[in-house]
Amino acid sequence: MVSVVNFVKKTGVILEFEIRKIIHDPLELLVRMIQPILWLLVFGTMFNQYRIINTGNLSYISFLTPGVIAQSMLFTSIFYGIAITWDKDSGILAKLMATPTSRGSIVLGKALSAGVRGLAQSVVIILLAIPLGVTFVFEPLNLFGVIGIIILASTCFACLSIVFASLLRRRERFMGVIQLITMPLFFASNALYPVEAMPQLLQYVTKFNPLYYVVDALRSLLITNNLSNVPMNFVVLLLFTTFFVFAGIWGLKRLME
Amino acid sequence: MNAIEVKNLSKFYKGDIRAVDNISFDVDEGIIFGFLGPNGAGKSSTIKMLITLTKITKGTARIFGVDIQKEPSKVRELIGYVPQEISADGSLTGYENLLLSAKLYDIPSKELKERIKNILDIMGLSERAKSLVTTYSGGMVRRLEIGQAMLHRPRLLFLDEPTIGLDPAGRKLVWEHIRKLNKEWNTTIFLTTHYMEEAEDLCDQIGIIDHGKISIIDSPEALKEKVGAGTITVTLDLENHPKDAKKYLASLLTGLAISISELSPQKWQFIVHNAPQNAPKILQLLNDNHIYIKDLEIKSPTIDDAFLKFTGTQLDEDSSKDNWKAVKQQRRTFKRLG
Repeated sequence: MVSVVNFVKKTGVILEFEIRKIIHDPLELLVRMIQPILWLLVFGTMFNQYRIINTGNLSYISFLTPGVIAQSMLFTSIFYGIAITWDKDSGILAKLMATPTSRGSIVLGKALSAGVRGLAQSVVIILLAIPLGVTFVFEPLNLFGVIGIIILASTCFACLSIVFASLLRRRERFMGVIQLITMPLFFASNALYPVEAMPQLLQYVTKFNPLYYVVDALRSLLITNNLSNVPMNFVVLLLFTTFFVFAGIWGLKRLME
Repeated sequence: MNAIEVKNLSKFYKGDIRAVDNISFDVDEGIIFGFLGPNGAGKSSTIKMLITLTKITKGTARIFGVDIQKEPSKVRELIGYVPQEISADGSLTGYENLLLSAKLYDIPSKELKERIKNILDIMGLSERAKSLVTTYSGGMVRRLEIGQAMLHRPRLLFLDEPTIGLDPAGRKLVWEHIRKLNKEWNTTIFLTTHYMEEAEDLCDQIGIIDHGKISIIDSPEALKEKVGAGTITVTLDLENHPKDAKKYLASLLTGLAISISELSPQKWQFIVHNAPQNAPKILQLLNDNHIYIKDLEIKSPTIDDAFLKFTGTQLDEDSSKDNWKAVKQQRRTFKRLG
């Protein structure tokens, strides 16, 4: 019991100081906003106008917005591993790990801060989408669901990133590999187009892509309010996240050896 | 009680690389222990095992009687650690860095402010507490880092190359703080260093490690005694004895000098037992024989000589320079990124 309390407390401490860092230097957060804004303003409005992709009775921009939220969150958290490698190359990580702080707290605290960034970005994207004609479902329960999904998903991808960082070690290799896997993750999801538009094989692949469940849940909660798939999305995402948190802890220990 | 007890400790890496090979040693409570060795000798691997960062391949180690393999989290409460690399977070202020450490070390929230204020005072950082650490000088960063590691008043402090890359003034200040912590708080200090002066002036005991094995552990004085001989370097006017000066000097100094060598024309080096005592005799003898001394240098054995004797290498200036370059490089990147 004591150790559980301590674990939660230490995770909170790590998270608190990650947030302080964002507040000291919000520039990075702002720069990362540019890409999703371009997706929404340029790509979204253009495709919306010509109705290139059939999204049923939803406008394309309404269809796309949850996808852009998921994408911006993915692109931010998937680079978290680089911060860990940086902390490792300086003495920050070694010092942290020599304090009475469990490895789980370190991984989870850092990963949860990706969730905080994800939430901040999502708010901006939603505010931007409203004048573009997107109608959101602003039910309290739905919004809680959205917050939960974003935090879970950011944690999941940040931990995945830590695993890659520990396997690849060198920053150059890490950047290369991460860039290599991000686009397939993005394209093999329902962020830009409905799954039904994909070739059969790719449709099958999407079932193993955590981003698919993220987009599906966000779209249901924010736009369609058809919640039948949401519990399943939550459970699958929770499983992915749990797995990658443990893998991330393994990766952190490996990085120190 | 011993602060550190290491028995048959080994660390092997893949491909049978024996970074640390079956070492045993104790460190008494309350002393400053200097751990010396060439690069790659196993210093870092030993420290990383002792602070519970990396797994022990074989053997045991205890910190104040606590087994580090059985109770790593208990060990972490007892120790403080300052890595060689920069470990203060440049994107936080000095105060926040201390606050982070205080919270991670479970310092009760009632005492937080008082303890941090106290450390800021001791380390001479109060005025800059609210500035981001990227704006600090190298010496300030180091002092902040030592402060972070001392907040919870650990009984044992590990310092990995505490003064690397600092200017002489910054180095002296850091030494002062290390001594103060050792004396006033009775903190046992385990440090690694490349600097002779640091080892000699600061440490009560010195352990030399080479190729993963401990060569010797002793006090600086005893180590120098073990080296034994000192050197006398003289520039001589040998005009009266142009032929075979070496032979002449050798016969003249029989029983006093262990060896005689000509470093450059006119410049000679005598290796002598107990140099300070025997030097006057030698000088007198030369003078009596009308050999005039133009220049003179007498040196007692140094830790450097001890290091040379026990590892077969000079305490490598070059690699320490490389290290230093790396740290400087890191400092620059640190400033840029911060």
